[in-house]
Amino acid sequence: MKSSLRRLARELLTFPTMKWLGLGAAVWVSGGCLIPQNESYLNELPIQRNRPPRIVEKQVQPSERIIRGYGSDLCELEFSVIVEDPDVGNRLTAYWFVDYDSNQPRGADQVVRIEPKSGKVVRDERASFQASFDSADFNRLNLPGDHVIEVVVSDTALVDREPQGTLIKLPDGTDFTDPGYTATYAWFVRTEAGGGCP
Amino acid sequence: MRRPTSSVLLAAALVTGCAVGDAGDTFIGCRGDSDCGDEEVCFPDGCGDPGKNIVVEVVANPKGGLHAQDFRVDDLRSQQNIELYDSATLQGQVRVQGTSSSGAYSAPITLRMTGESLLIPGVARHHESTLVPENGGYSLPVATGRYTVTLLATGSELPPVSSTREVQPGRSVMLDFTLPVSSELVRLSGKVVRQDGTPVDVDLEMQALDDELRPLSQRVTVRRDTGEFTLALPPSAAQRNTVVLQVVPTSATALVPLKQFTVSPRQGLQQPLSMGDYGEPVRFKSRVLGRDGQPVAQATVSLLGKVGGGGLFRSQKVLTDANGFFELPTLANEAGNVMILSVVPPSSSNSGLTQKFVHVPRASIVLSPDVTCGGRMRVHGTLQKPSDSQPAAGVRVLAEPIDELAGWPRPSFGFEASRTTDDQGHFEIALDPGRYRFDFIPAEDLPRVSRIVTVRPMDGTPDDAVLELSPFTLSKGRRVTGQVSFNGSNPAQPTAPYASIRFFRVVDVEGKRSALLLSQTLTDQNGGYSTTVPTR
Repeated sequence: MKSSLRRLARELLTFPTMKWLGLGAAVWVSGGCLIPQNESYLNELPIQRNRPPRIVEKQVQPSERIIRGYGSDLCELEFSVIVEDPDVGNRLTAYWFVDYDSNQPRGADQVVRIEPKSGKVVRDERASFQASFDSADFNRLNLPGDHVIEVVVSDTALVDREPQGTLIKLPDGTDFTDPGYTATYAWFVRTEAGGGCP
Repeated sequence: MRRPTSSVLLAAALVTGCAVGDAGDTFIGCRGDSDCGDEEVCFPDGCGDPGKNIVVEVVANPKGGLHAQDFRVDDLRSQQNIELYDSATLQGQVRVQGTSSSGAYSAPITLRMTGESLLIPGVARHHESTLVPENGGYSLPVATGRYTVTLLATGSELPPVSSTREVQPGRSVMLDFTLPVSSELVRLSGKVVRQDGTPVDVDLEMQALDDELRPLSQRVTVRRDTGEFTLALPPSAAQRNTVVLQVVPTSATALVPLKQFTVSPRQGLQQPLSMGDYGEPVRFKSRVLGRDGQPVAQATVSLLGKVGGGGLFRSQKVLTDANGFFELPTLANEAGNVMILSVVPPSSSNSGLTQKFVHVPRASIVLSPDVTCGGRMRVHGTLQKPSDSQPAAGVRVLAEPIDELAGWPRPSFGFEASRTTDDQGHFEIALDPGRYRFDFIPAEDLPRVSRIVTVRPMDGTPDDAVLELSPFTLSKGRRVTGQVSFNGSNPAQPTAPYASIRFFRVVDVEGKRSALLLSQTLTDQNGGYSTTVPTR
């Protein structure tokens, strides 16, 4: 009996296909020994955590960090950033500050909303801040001297430039605080009362 | 050249507006795509082929020296690949005039370039770089455009040198500068004084300008204690019959006017330059009220005008308090003249930009009558989707001032509706009188659409100050996709990831070359892009 089985096996293994089948069967059987059999199940799909927005740094305008000659050679300036957020549905806001002093907190000089659109990570619309030296309205940038202009892009509300967390109720009844995120960029502007702008 | 069809439709639209007696509706040109031919879209300049008159601006990597390049697109296809040139450069030599050996200048310089796109009117271009020429040579990557280039010798009295150049995509443009030898500069020394001959005692700067007020010298500081200054002029400027010397206070709070003196550089300054009798400081006090008689808080107030002695004074800007009161340090106006008082209420206010002529006499305190602001017009409108004329919700509405109305100052900033359109497609935005370009930016995958709206001064009471626009249907959109790549000279960088792309429609609007932004986007990490432009 033993020899007939051995003979049958030898005859079968002479076929190339059967060789591979035999090898596969061996791997499958031995794998069964190695794969752990205890299984655990997730109760719910985990909630996707909020991710930070990003300013596409290579596309900030102006590309120079330091701008001189505003008020003499340059009578108008436009600052703009392009923003992306992997959380495509997030409403983003760009807060523009000129000479922000953390010891004397105040609101932004300009606020620009960046709405989600078409499920794209990159928001097509730029967030811009314009300054005109001739303008009659008040703009700190128009005062002669050195200025810092900053843009803070946030996916949550800001209080004194600090992102405010959002409380999220998890399915298991516990609370989770989404901290909110910001991304910032800054330029330096030297405003000159050169009389070059009428 | 203006398209005849546009003119006809523009005239027809205006006539129609009069015929229906809807004075509020001030859209010019066609009112919607349905007014246009089968293949045309309604643009602010009238009906037009959405695939024609297109210019695309691509900014690949400005921080890496790959600045904006502009290209005409004859016919905008659904698959529109864009091939970029290598970086355009401005390069040349900086030499010192008349020196022996090479004459190469090798001290730090600042190159400042200001200009505009060659193909897209109104798109400003600016570059600035401080560098040390290597054997007199420099090379600066720049965007395509038409520039005025100014060389400033950093930390030196050498006068600025300016020239103009046009830069095409991928081209290297040569621009050499020749600086005068320091020893050949002509020094012009003088003194700035008050009328009584004493120093002005505020921080002042002095600069020599030509007849068209272009700089002939660097700006130099006037010594505060003595009023003395020394300007260095190039030999050519010193041969002029006259130059303009301009004195400017460097602080916004200084109570000293800007003044220009026309002098002969050949003769030098024989006498001190007197700022004249501009008088003593005046505290100008008043209150700002709205048309309803209520105080306007947080309004920006300033004064501008000629003062005694022939100077021009621009006051600092102050804000009104919670009760609308303000106090403005100023100078008295020139005898027989008046000053312009500008009041800019905050954008959230129903009161609007106001300018008035006021008399500022020579007195320590001037109590001026209340200033009553004109009102902002509340502009209402409704937007509809192009497919089924259902209300278009969630649309951003922006109003950019493009022109002033006769007798009114130009609005000083753009406005955005505080909320996007509601579920009924309604929007409301309060505006000062003027001509505006309204930009409607839908949240859905529809193209941005623009219209020109004229907001006229209101009549009657503030309650009447509503401008109701006719319902407006957004345009349909079509996808334009493509790849942005380089034209092969650099195999290591075949595509342009994270490049900014903007499609403009460039046409004549009322005889003036104008650019209208149709769409903007960014390429992905592989250089591919996808955007939506108007279509029928």
